[in-house]
Amino acid sequence: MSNLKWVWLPVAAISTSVYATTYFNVEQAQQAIFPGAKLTKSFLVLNDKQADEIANRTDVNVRNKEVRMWRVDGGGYFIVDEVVGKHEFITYAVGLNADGSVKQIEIMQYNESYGYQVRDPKWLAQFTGKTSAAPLKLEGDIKNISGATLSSRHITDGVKRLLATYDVAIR
Amino acid sequence: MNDALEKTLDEDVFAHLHASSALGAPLRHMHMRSGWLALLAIAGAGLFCWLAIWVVSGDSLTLDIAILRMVGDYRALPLKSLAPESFADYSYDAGSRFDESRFQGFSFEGIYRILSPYTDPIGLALYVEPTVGPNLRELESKAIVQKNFLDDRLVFAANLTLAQEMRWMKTDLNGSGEPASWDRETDLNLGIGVSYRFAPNWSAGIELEHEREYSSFHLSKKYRTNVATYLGPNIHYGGKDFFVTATFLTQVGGGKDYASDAGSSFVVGGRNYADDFEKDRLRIKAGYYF
Repeated sequence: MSNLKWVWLPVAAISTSVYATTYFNVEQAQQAIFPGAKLTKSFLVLNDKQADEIANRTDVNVRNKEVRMWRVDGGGYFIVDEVVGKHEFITYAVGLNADGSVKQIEIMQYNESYGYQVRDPKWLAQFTGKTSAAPLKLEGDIKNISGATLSSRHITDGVKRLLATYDVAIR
Repeated sequence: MNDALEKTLDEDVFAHLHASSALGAPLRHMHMRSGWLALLAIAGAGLFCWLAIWVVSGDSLTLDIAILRMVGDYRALPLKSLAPESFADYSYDAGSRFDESRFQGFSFEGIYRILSPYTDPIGLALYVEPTVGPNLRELESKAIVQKNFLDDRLVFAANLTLAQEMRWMKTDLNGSGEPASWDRETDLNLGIGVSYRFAPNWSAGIELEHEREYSSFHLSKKYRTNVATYLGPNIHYGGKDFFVTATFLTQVGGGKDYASDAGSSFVVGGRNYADDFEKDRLRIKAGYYF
């Protein structure tokens, strides 16, 4: 059995993730979605009942109960969220209008070697105007991206979860 | 958009099994898979390795170049053992050292995904891999089923494999002087596995493989020869430009040798040591994206 040890060396030698690509930091994403606006940090933590209700409404797992949210002067909300990518988390920002509809989405950090098409403004624009009443289903009202199905699905699910979060815990 | 014809890079959280979610990667990406290495650890006797390089040549088509390398000292084995099946046409003394290499053949591997585990309730894919070599003709087919949970971090997969092969035998194994002929065989395997992504980039789990061998293309009791079951852990790292997956399987009890009488059975201690059934198997897949 000792002869097998060398085989594991290449695996053990691989370091943990080091290739994060950041396109926007929080401030940059805020300015991209709400140019010139003043935003006030307003993080909140969902209680168990709220998390369960969001999961039941959307059929999407509430992995993190903390909602990293900023309120926008004059109305609107800015939320930073993470979803599971093929290898790492995808960090993105969602801007909501005062009525809870999607104003704009920006991918802040994407770490995969492909599937980068989810950053395409045309693909992200599909979410504009969506509310919690929208199906938000990949290959339904949201087009899939061939070669980036997992990222497309998880971002779609993430937005659906945040819109339900607005309904349940924010407005 | 239909992703059924996505280019498959075959990045997989399993090394022995296949998942139906082999990644859709752009065509410019190359795929290299460093095949499998099995160690005959019984009495520390032998090392059996099979290295293969796969190169993606199309949407879901993989060109596969397999080179077989076998080194072993069978004098320490507690029974009369055969050389690995790929050397079934070799003449050798079963109790002596066997040290040979040979080119196995070329394969074309195609995976067609019918249902995606990301957009459908389950993933379903069909796999076909014809192999042609100087002494080998093989057609391996698989049905691959996959179900994901927990935001696709927990993956279950099942494979049903049917492999029909013909090997050119210069003489029969008993050396009775029968004329050279194509020896026919069918492998029917059921594999199941689970893998959980426990940290960014890293997944680990367990794979189980149950293998049945027949000395014909017909799957009837009359032609069954060997049965063995393997179980072991896997680990996977997926990075930006490469991935590595390794699975170590060890043969568990329940081995059967239907082709031999009790006195010459290849089953010892519940394990089958016939030519296609090693005690331990290690398979490593590695890929690099250009």
